[in-house]
Amino acid sequence: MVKQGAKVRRYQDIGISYDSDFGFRTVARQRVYKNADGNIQTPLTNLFFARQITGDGKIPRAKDFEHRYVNACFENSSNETGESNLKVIVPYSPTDTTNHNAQVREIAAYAGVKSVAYFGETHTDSVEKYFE
Amino acid sequence: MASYGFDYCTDSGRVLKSVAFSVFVVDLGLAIAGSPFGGERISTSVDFDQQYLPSNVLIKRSCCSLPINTPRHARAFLSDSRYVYIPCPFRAVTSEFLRFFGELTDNNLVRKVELRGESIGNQYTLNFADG
Repeated sequence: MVKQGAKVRRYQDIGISYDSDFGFRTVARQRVYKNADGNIQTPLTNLFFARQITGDGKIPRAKDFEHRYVNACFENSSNETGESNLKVIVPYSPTDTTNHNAQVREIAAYAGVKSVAYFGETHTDSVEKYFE
Repeated sequence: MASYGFDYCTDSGRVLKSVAFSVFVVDLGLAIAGSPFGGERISTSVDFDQQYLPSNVLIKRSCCSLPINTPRHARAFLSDSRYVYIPCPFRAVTSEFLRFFGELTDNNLVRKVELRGESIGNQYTLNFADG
């Protein structure tokens, strides 16, 4: 039972194994949003869960760069724009074409998703460190 | 502003043949609200561009514009407030991609190199991921 006045957390963080554009593997934090009933709204699919980190490993809070991701657009009449967007990290390297593209297709086919937009990996810190 | 053409490979693996791209300088001190580049664009000459364009970017005649929002590109900083915008036609992790960024980080004229990922809008993301 939820205490009166207590805040209900509507998200959880999931750790996934992520392959960077510069060829190294790291752990990424995916924020997952839930509705009032506790059901997950973020379109997480089989290929996403295949990269989930299980066990006691800590998920890093900070990130050194922006992970590649898909913005999934849903109809949402309670928003002024009539839509809402949820972000899903794509942990598969672009050169892992089969899984990279299949995950995008899975997100597009997820219940309620109207359209998808893709954003590649971004490093606003110098990339020089990857060549030392 | 100098314009060129190259074959661009999207992250999903689609090769877009002979598409146009430009190299230019952005001055962040001359900020423009809403600009995706963060400041005012300044035209450059072919001679200027040659000092920065990595040697593995093969220039060809262009015939089409890129059907994506923004190509992946490097921001090669000349100072804290000025960078050269250079599109990268190569897909991540490939030897050509690493050579492209390796040459930029080795360039003595460049102080810092950023990677900005491609963005593909709703019309094309699924098309490119199909098949």
